[in-house]
Amino acid sequence: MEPMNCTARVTDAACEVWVPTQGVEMCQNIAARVTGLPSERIMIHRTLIGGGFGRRLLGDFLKQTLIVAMAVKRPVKLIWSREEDMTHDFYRPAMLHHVSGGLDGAGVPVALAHRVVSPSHMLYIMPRAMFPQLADWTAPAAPPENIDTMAVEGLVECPYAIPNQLVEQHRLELDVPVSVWRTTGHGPNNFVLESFVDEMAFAAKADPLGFRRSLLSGNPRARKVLDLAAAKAGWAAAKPAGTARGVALASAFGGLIASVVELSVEDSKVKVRRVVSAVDCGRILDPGIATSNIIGGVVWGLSGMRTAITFDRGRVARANFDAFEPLHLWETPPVEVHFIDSGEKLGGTGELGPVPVHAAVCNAIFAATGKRVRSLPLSDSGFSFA
Amino acid sequence: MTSFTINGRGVTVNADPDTPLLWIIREQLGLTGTKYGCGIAACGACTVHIDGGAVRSCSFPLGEAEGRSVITIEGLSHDRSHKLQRAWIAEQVPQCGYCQSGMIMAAAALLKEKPHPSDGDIDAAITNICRCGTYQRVRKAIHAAAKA
Repeated sequence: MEPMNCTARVTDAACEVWVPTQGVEMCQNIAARVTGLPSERIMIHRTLIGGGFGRRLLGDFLKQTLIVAMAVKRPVKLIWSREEDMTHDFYRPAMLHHVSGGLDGAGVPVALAHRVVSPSHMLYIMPRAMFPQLADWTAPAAPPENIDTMAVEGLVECPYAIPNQLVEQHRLELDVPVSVWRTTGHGPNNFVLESFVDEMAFAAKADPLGFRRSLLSGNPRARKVLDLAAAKAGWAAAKPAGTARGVALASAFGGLIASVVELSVEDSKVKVRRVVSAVDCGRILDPGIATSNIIGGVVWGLSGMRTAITFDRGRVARANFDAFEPLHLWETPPVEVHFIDSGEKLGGTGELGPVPVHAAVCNAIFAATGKRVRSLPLSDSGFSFA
Repeated sequence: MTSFTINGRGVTVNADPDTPLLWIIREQLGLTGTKYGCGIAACGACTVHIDGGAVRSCSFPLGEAEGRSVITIEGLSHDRSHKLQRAWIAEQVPQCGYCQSGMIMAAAALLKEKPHPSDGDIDAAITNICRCGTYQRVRKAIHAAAKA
């Protein structure tokens, strides 16, 4: 919610900056490059961050503040308007997937092939770590052609035992600045993978949960997470009248999450009634923060199914919360989170929550209506949230 | 010149009467608990009370505050003892916290009007946006405060 902002004082001898950033060292590097001062003369004060979500991994607003402060030779406080913020963002890349798969006569998957067309998620973030020759950290830097691990993450580590898998990556060059939008490549890739697994289950005339379980015999940790979500959601029990359920599993950020969504659809209006998530992210260090992260992540995931940035003659057309509406309180379903304290290596909870949400919702929409949602936002398929 | 009271203290401000009250509160009066989120009254981060009612101060011109009583998050209680503040801490509602003073001010206005709100009342009154997704705990804390 906090718009991009920065306060800076630059003199011939030193540079002092107050900035809500996710990258203090990045800011120090940018400030050194922009001011020409040595790093030890740069002091970065990181203020409390009013939401980062990946946007504050970029230092463009810091650079702007420094340039102005040097030009006017006075301390400068910069606060972007919401319109400046929303129209000068680094957006989640639009991706196109072509997926094909094969089942044998018994309905067992024998092949899975993905072709992913996407701009590079890593074009702007952490470029210096990858490209030390860059002048500073605000310039875009393309990774070597067709090598962008984020564009294919979650696909190359598919948790299911399906033989004959192929993942192809093709980089799309666009002028739209893009970056990681909470879930990096995992979110969009999981939407595709878990929607397709659901389609395979349907083609195999199998229960979506049972179909997934059968492909996880070699992955007991994932199976346990899936089973916990199913048990807590009452997958085997009768559904409340007029509702349908969908499930999705994700392996991301060193953790595992399965979510079951219960919803109803009336006149193409989707009312999400309940979300149950089970998580194994190793050891739970702070149950309160971990729970909040997952609940908030689910809300983030649901919001992302409705919101979109559009362009009109080269300009961002959606500039404020009247045209880009995240979920409100009245639309937010009850979210339950259940943890497995497995003692395994620590995984992150910050970005895990949203990952399976898109597929779980769309799989439930299919269960309710027989209509597959293969593109987001939901309005692409004529659906909206009730 | 515009005169009004803020958190019980009389103030006179010399600024264009069209200036959004939010920026007077933050920049002139130095009360930074009230936040800027959208500038179009869509998100509620800037919610304050004017004569007891919840108002989005980003879209409220200074001139209209003449002679009125403004309460910001800093004035909700002197010692963080308002039942909503206590409930907010007990339920650990905030994540990043940026939208939360607006949430609390909206909730306080609701409780003043409806001391025991239903879920439907909360749905209708709390239209603030939270990107962290704290809504579930916001609802819980409002119910807890109503019972306190």
